[in-house]
Amino acid sequence: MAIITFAQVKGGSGKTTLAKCTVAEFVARGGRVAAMDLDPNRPLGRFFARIPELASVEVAVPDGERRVSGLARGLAARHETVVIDLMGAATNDTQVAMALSDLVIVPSQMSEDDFRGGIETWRQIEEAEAVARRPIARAVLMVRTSAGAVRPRVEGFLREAYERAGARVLGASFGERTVWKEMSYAHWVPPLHDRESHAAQNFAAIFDEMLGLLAALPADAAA
Amino acid sequence: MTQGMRRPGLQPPAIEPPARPRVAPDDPRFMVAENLERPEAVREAVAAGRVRALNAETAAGLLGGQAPAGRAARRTTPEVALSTRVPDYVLRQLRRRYAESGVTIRNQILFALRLAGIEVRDEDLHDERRRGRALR
Repeated sequence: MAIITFAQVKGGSGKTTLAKCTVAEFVARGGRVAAMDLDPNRPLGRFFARIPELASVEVAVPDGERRVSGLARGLAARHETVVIDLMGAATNDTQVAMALSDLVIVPSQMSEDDFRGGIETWRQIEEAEAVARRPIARAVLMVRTSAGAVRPRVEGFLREAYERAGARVLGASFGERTVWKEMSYAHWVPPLHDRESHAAQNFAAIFDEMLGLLAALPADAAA
Repeated sequence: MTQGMRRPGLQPPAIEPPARPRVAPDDPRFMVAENLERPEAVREAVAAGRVRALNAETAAGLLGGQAPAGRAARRTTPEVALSTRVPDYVLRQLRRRYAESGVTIRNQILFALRLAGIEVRDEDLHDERRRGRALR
């Protein structure tokens, strides 16, 4: 169906947590999903191995012999969806992954460094789109926002700043919650194990927006 | 009226994933990605500032002093001269990138042509006049 990449040239923005949740949400909805881990720390495979529902998710890891493009080709032939998690830097993998993608999500916390990294990442997606000569859906996702009802001033400020710079921002944001930090320790993944929780519903709203972006792509763009 | 019944919680509508075919193995995106993985492409991206760090696992051929296997292959096709006029700001950028990265103007142009779909073979991307300084 699609190749989805989480990219942000600044580290620590939440790419891996979002990749974990995206894979879990696909599994919870009965989708056939695989992942590619381009973070040398290999967080995805380690995490999935501990969660019974995710233990069979195929996680591809490149090395000197197996390139990203070849791995993605193989995964895409076997699975409906491939989720790619990148290292938090502008690496040689960044544009390769973007050129492969149907959808790129740019997580951004609310610091200026995240904003600058988010804009740089956005520009890289635009370049990848020009090189690939096909549309690549994309959006910034505000992360570690207040999980309460009140939206802090800085979040609204940054949403406007991104929009002024030409970057689309998802309406939903990924709220700061302890449960996301505890996932690895508790082996408890809200999208799988507690779908009625606020955390799971928060992520489901993000996920539905992501699917909406994919659905809006021209029909032949992800063929 | 029934008493004690709670109003049900709000449920988001189920949105099925869009029905799209899997990405076919011959999809052009994989060729584009392969081109972006080539050493010349990475050097060009470094020169342009798009790449600021190398993943040692996926850029192994670019690290260290050894040229990757096959790098020394000589071209078998004769080269011909091509002369054209371009805007001066384009030439200035090409020269600046050459100064920054050591990737010759010839190779910058050939690589751009390959990304645009023109066949340019690997062995013809070795410029024997000057080897790239960056990432060698």
